[in-house]
Amino acid sequence: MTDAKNERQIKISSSDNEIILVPRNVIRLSTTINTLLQDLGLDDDEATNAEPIPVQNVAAPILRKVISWCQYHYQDPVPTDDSDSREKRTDDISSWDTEFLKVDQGTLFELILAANYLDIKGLLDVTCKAVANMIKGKSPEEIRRTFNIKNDFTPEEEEQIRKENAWCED
Amino acid sequence: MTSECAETETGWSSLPEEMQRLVVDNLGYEDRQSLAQCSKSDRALVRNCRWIFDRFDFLVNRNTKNSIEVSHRYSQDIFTQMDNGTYVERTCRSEVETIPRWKLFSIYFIDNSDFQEMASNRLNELFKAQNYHVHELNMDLLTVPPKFPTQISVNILQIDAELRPIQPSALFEMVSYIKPTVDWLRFRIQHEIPRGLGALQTVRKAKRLIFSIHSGFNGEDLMGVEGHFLDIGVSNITGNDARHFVLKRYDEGTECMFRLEMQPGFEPEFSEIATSFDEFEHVCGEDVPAEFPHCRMMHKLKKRGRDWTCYLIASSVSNFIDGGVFRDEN
Repeated sequence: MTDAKNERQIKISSSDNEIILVPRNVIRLSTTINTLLQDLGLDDDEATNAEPIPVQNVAAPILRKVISWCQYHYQDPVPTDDSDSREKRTDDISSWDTEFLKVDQGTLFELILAANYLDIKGLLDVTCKAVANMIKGKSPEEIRRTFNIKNDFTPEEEEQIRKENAWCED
Repeated sequence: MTSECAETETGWSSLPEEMQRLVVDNLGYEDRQSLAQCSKSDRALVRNCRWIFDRFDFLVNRNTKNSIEVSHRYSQDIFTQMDNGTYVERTCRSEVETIPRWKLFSIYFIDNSDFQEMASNRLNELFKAQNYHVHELNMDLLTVPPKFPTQISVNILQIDAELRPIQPSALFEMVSYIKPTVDWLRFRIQHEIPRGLGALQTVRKAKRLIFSIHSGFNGEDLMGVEGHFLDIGVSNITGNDARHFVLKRYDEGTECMFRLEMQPGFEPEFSEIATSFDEFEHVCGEDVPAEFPHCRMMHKLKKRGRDWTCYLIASSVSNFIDGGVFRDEN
């Protein structure tokens, strides 16, 4: 991996008005920012000298995490569009990403939102897999506890659901 | 876990549905069902997420305790078969052949009125999750078929059904909601094919038909069959019907290969079949191999400047009539 720090850098402004410098090649993973620069007609040189790009939906701590992820992955092959709806693997998260995603639940969800807003497919995929792994193998009650989900079923509805899902029990 | 960022009031329910769907996309059937039981919104979320499985079996049986056993299973190409015959998780799709991994869910129902509704609901849910497109449906129904959804039609490519119901309407109920576009149809039933909506049309439209029935399927029905590969067990079809079928296919210019399983004691009507070929312009006739000593009816025919091969082979030993209509390669 080449040293991204020596490359041209652009300025990004977080939702809490913090200016963060990020190598152009690194932030290229964000389709949102790429499209914005293209729409403004800025080439790489011009983008380097331009005003900070506002990323209004992402606070600085999360933005730094996102940039950290991009710095590690910016030379990865472009992910293919896996559009089929078959069950996907979630056990293929790299060790680096596993460490990266050892964050509290709130941060993880904010990373998902940031990845979606910035349109960074690889980060969105891996964060969604991480949340899926938090669901896998758990009972409904365990999932509720994990995600603080309020059970809004009536007792009658719960009984009906229990009967229906008895199909899934051994 | 470490917290590098400020705690926020972020939770699962605060994620937009679009993001939740991306998470659900990574879940298998059981985990989706667990999530669906958490809250009403999660239930709606799971129902709205499409999920494809390659093969779906729906099995209904009565067990020795006089309760109904229902199971369905699905497969996904997740495991790979290595040269040594062991199965390992897929690491590289392009290097090894994928094989189905089966998951089987079972439940025992008391034989009561709830069963049909529950089975119907489950089928509806599964079909909806498949966007009403199912590649392969295997059904083994004994005595108590579920009520099938009647307000929808399902596009199923392959059906393998063994029906031994008390109610002869089971087959009718099953096929009446299936679009008559099935590629591969295998029915094993012990009663007459219903004449009502859907059933016979499904049989006729199947491109590949393996159809075991003891009565009720006659020569007229055979004429309506459009499939290219047919294996039909019947009793009301004669050698003359087979002859007409070959002539019809030849006249239409549609290729087919078929075997008619006849009743024991069937007498091949050699002369009748042989006479039928007098209607063709014989280019040449070939002796049938020795393993078919009871008939020798292989003829090469010419039609519209192209060569066709039509044949009928009847055997009173094996009780079958084989036939085919093929356009020659050259």
